[in-house]
Amino acid sequence: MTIDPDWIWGLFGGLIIGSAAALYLLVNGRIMGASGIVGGLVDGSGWSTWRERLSFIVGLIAIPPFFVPLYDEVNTNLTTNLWAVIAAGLLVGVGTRLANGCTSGHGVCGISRLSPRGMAATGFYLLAGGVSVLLFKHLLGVV
Amino acid sequence: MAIAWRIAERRKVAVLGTAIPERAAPKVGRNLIIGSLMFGAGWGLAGLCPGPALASIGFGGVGGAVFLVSMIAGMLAAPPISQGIDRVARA
Repeated sequence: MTIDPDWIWGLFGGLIIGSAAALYLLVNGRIMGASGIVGGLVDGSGWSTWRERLSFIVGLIAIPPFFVPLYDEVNTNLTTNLWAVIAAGLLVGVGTRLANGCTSGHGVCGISRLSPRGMAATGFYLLAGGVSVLLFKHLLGVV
Repeated sequence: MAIAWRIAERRKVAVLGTAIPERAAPKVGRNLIIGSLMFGAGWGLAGLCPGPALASIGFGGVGGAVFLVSMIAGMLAAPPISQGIDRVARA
């Protein structure tokens, strides 16, 4: 087959992420939020549940390499400008802790629960993300 | 995932016995808005959010690792920044 549209991978990936979130909720009784799972280990607030947090993180890091052979090239859309990467990492770290969630917690888990906070957070970060791409990529060209 | 929520909220307890998380008060507060705007700006800048940042460690690239370390530093800096925002808002 010569047709390899990206959206099929996006749809497939999204289905897997949604299923993972459903499993994490139904089996473990927790909201699958990446920033919360990591953040609880970073600031110590989640040390009492470190096993499930660490298991999630190990799985998230260990599984993707098995799928690399499926692709010609892994493209994370990451800029090569390291200063931009550092600034972005700091913003994402501070922002997700202030907002108490990121794309997985507020976006995937919040919207599917019709949570007002999840939907509001998603609206604000999508807006800021769009402005950021417009500004830094298309107008300033730094990333 | 929406179906999972319906099942979870009816059963109240997960398979492993953990209680299903209660709904947070539906208050869209200052920190939610400021935090989400900051997160979105960083996400747009680098093209990574926390989940994929972790996943990117597995298939290499210095950029992903640098992003993850910066993100953890940002998480450590969040509590004092939050207190700072509260002070400014009260003033």
